[in-house]
Amino acid sequence: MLSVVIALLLGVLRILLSPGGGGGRSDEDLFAAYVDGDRAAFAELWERHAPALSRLMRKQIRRPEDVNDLVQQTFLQLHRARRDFRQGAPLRPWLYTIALNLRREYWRRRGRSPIAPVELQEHMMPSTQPVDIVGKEDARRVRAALARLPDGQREVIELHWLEGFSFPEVAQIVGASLSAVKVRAHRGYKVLRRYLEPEEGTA
Amino acid sequence: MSDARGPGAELEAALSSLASETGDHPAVSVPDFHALARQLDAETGPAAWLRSRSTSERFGVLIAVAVAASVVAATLGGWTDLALLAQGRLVLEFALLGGFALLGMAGSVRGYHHRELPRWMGWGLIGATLVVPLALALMPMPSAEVPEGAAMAAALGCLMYGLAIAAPVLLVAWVLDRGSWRGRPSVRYAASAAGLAGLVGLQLHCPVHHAEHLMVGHLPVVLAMLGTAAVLGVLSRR
Repeated sequence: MLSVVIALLLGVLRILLSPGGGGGRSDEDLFAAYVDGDRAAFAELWERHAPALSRLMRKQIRRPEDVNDLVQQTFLQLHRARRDFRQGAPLRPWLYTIALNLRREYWRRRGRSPIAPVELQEHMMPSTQPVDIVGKEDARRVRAALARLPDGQREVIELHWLEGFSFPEVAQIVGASLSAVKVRAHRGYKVLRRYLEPEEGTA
Repeated sequence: MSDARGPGAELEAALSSLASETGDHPAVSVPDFHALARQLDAETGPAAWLRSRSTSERFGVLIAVAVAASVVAATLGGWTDLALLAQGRLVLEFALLGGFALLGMAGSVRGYHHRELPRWMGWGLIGATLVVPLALALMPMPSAEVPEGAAMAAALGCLMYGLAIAAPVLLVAWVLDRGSWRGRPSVRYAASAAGLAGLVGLQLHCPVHHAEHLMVGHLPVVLAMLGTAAVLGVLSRR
């Protein structure tokens, strides 16, 4: 009985002492707190979004130090743009707009087009999970096909299917109308289906 | 079942498999927040303060610098008597040069949180920055109040005058930019804005409309800004 009470008290204490004083704050609340001077709120935003942004960058960029640098730059630009953020607007699409602009700039500086997406390395795979050979093969083929799409179409499909954004959010991120985004996705699907059609004799 | 514009069942399954593959694995080496914290701590001083102003405030700062530089230069170098000039031509020149200068300033202060403008827009503005002053220089002269020899002699003075206005605008645009100019479209907008601001400032000072004078004394202000920005765009490491 006593151990249950102590565990309960410790749990309450942990919530109270955690950065920001509570785990349920939205991204927008955290950012507002940061603008008001709460550095811990920015650290919490970092913990929430840096892993996903790293994944987004690594889809096109091989060097880990470049990936890390771009994720840091994304947050640095978020900091510099803090007075541009409109209250009531969602933060996550805003963050991804910054990240994608930085990724495009990265390639422009190198005067090259993005490389094919990075294959997941073995040490990134969970060793305790059974590997789904069929699913892995599907994923490999889709990644290869996605790499051949024009930037605009690939971005829309990646953001919707891999990052989980709704089409209105994707439209906000890429700065296009909802209908334009759906047209890009539709065209991308058509091209992807063509790439993914089984080759003759392999079906 | 997806709608007619959706990916279709097979592609949907393939995309989902890719999503689960990438989504299940946390990033291998998420950079440390402390590295970012150090960068945030370094964001001090007047330049960092200016960069962190809102986009509309930075746009206002750039306009203010262009106006202030023009007024100071005209006060020191002498105002032209605008009443002596053909009013229609004057309005046309101010509208075209000033309008494109404002577009350049707006483009140069866009942050990373805005969608990137199409590439043709930046190059189009560069084209307009070169073509508009050239076309204005080649237009028939509204008056011939200055002898041609004197007009050419004044060209170097006008070039210096224009540069004295354009250079501060380019410098402040560089300070206001939130990223590096290397590989960044904003460098093109800033160069156009600075060059055209120099030409607008020259309108307040120089009453000469000889084509040769404008080509030698005015147009190189734009060329100098585009060239400087191109070099900064390559060398900039900020």
